Amino acid sequence: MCERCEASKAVMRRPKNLQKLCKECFFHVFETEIHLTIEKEKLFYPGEKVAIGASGGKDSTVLASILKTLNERYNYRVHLVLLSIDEGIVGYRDDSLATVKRNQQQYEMPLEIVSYKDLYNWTMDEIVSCSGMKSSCTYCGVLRRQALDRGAMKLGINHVVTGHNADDMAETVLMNLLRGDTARLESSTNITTKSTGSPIKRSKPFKYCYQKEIVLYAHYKKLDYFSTECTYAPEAFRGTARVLMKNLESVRPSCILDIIYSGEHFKLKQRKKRPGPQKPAIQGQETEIRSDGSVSLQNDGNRCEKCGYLSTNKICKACLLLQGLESSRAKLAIAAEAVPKVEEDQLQHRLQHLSF
Amino acid sequence: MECSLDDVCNRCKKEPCLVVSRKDHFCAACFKKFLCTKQRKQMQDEKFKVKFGNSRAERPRVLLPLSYGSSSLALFDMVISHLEEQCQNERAVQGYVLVVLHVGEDTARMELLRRKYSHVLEKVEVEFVTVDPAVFVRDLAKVAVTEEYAVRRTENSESLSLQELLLQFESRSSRQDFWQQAVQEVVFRSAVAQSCSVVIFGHSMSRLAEETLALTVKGRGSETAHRLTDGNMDYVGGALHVIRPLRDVLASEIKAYVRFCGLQEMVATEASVKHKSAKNKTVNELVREYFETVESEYPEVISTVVKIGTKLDSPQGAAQQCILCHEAIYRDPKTWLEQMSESANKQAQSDVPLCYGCLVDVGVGGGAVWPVRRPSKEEILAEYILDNEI
Ligand SMILES: [Zn+2]
Ligand SMILES: [Zn+2]
Ligand SMILES: [Zn+2]
Ligand SMILES: [Zn+2]
Repeated sequence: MCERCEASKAVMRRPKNLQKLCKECFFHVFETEIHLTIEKEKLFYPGEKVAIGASGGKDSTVLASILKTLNERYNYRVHLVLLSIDEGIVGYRDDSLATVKRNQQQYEMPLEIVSYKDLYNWTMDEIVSCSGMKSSCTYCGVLRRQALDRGAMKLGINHVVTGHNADDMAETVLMNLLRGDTARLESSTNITTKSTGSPIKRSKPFKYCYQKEIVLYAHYKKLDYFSTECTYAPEAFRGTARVLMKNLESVRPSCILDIIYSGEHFKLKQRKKRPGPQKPAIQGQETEIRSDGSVSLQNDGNRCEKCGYLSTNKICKACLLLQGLESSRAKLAIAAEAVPKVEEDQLQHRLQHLSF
Repeated sequence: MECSLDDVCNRCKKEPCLVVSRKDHFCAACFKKFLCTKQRKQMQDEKFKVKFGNSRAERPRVLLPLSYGSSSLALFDMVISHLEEQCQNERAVQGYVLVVLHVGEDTARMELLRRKYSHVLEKVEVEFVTVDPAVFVRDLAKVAVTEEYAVRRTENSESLSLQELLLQFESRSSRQDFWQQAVQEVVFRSAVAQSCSVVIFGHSMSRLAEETLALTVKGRGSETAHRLTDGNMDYVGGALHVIRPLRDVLASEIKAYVRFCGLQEMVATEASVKHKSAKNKTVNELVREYFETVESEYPEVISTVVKIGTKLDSPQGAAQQCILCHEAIYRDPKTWLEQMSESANKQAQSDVPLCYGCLVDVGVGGGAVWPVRRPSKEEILAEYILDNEI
C-alpha cells in the first residue's frame, strides 16, 4: 500500500527517502517539491518569458512537462518557450531534435532551434574531426553555453532554465575540488547564475532532484524523450569522478544532497591584498575568462571585436576557441589550397548577423 | 616508483638510488633528510627551537598522537631525530617536550617502540602515554531525529560501552566516523590533561586530500577550513596549537620512509579493504582508493585538492554547536531539508542543535545514545586518570 494516501497500491520506493508510493502520490510529491524550490528561490515573476533549454533528453523533457503543469496549477503566469541547440552531431542531434519537435506539439509551446553552424559556422562533428575527441568537452561547454544565451537574446528572453539535476550539481562540486577550480567553487551550487554584464539569467529548478526520480517520473508519465547518451562521451577524468560518485552512493545514498549542502557552505578565504601599486583593471582582465565560457563585463558596452557578443576581452571565449580551430584547419588544409581567410570572414559575418 | 640497479642518488651522487619521488632520485639517507626538512619547515616556530639556561621553563609540551599507522610513526621518528639533533649542543636543552599518546589498548606496541629507540630516549625527554578510549563515554543521552527532521533529546539510563555505542550505527561508514570523532576528542582532552599547548598530527598530504573530499561527501564541507588549516584552535576555554607537519608529504613517500627506518614491524596494519565490495567500504576508504587509482595518471590531483581545501574559509555568521560532534552549524539542517520536502512540518521544533552530517548519520526516523556534553577543563583535569608511564 502507498504510505502516503494509504488507498492505492504502491508501485515504487522513492529513491530520496525509500518511502513506498503509488504513482499519483509520487507525481504529486515530486511536482510539489519542485514548486517549493521555485517559490523559495523566487525563480519567476508573473509575465516573465522563460526559455527552457531543451535537448530532447529526459531531464529537459521532464522540465518542460513539469513547468507546464506547475505554471497552470499555481498560475505562475510565465511564458514558456522551448529553446534547442543543434550542435550538428549526426545521428544524435537529428533524433533528439525530432523529439523536441514532438514535445513542441505535446506541450503546445513555441520552439526555437539555434544551430552551431548558424552561430559559429562549425558543427560539433567538424570541431571534433579537427580538434580530436579529447577536447570536445571544452568546446561543448563554452559553445553550448553561449549558444543558449545567444538564442535567448535573439528571442528577447532574459531567463533560461535548464534540466541540471542534483546529481549533475554534486558532480560539478567534486570536479571543482578535483580541478582546484577556485573561480567556480563558491558559485557551483547556486540555483541561479548570471555572468556579470550579461542580461541572461540561468536557473536550475531541478537543483535538489535526484536523477533517479527524474527517470522514474519520465517513465511513469510515459514522457516522450530521447534516451541515447551524447556520442561525445565525457573526458576520462570526469569519468573517474562519476565512478567515484556511483560507489559513494552505494555506501551513503544521501551523498548527492550531502555534497550540495557542503557546496553551499564553500567560501574562499579573502585574499590578502599585496602592498604596492594596484592595477585593478589588469587584475580584472586576468580573471574574467571563466572556464565555462561565461563572460564578465566590467565597463558597460565592452563587446567581442569579432562577433559583438558581450565580453571584457577583445575577443570572446567562443571566438578564441574557434580561432584556434580555424588555424588548425588551415594547417591541415595547407597543401590543399584552403581558403581560411574567406571562412573567417564568413564566420565573422554570421556572428555579427546573429548578435546584438 | 622503483629505480634501476645502476641508478645513483641525485643528491649525494654517491649512494645507489633506492626511491624515485617527484621525479628526483634518492638514496635512503638523502630521502629521509628530504622528508625531515619538510617536517622541520612546519615546525620552525621560535617555540620549538633549542633553549639555553633559564628559558628552559618556557619549553612547550607537544602532544603527538600515535595511531601506529605509517604517518604517525614516521612523524615520531622525525621528531625524535629533531630532538636528538637539538641535544647535540652541550650547553643547550631540547626546545620542547614530546608527549607521545596512543588512544587504544595496545600497550605492548608502545613497549616495542621504546625499546627500538632506547638509545635515543636515554638522551632526550619524551613521555609516553596510553589512554583508553572508554574515557570518552560520559554524559550519555539519547538523540533522535523525527520523520519531520526535528531533533529530540531524551535521558538515557543504560550504561553502554564505547563498542556498544558504536554498534548502534548500522553503516560501517557512520561507525567509523563516530569512532574517529571519539578518538580525536580523547586526543584533545589528553592534550589538556597533559598540559600540552601543541598537538602535531601525522596527516600526510594524501590524507588531507582524502579528508577534503570525504568531508564534502558527508555534508561537512564547512569543517574543511579548520580541519586543513594549521593554527590555534579554541578548546575548553584554552587554545591548542594544531600542526600537521607532514602536510607536504605524500602517503607513498611516508611508506618509503617507514621502510628506510625499519619501522614496518611497528605499523599496525589495518585489515585490507581491497577485497570488500564498494557497498561495505567507508566513505573515506572509497575516497582513498580513488586517489590511489588516479594518482598515477593525474599526479597533481592530490596537491590540487589540498590546495583548494586550504583556501576555504569557515562560513560567516553566528553558529550553533552540534550536540554530538560539537562542530559549528551555520545553516539549520531542518530548514534546509524542509525547503525541498513535500511533507515538511515547520511546526515541529528541535530540542537541541544537531549538525547536518550527524543528522544523516543518525538517520531520519532514527536515534542513538551518545555523549552529549564536552567536559570542562576542570572536569578533564579531575576525571582523566591517565595511564602515565614515564
Ligand atoms: Zn498514494
Ligand atoms: Zn566573439
Ligand atoms: Zn644520497
Ligand atoms: Zn554533528
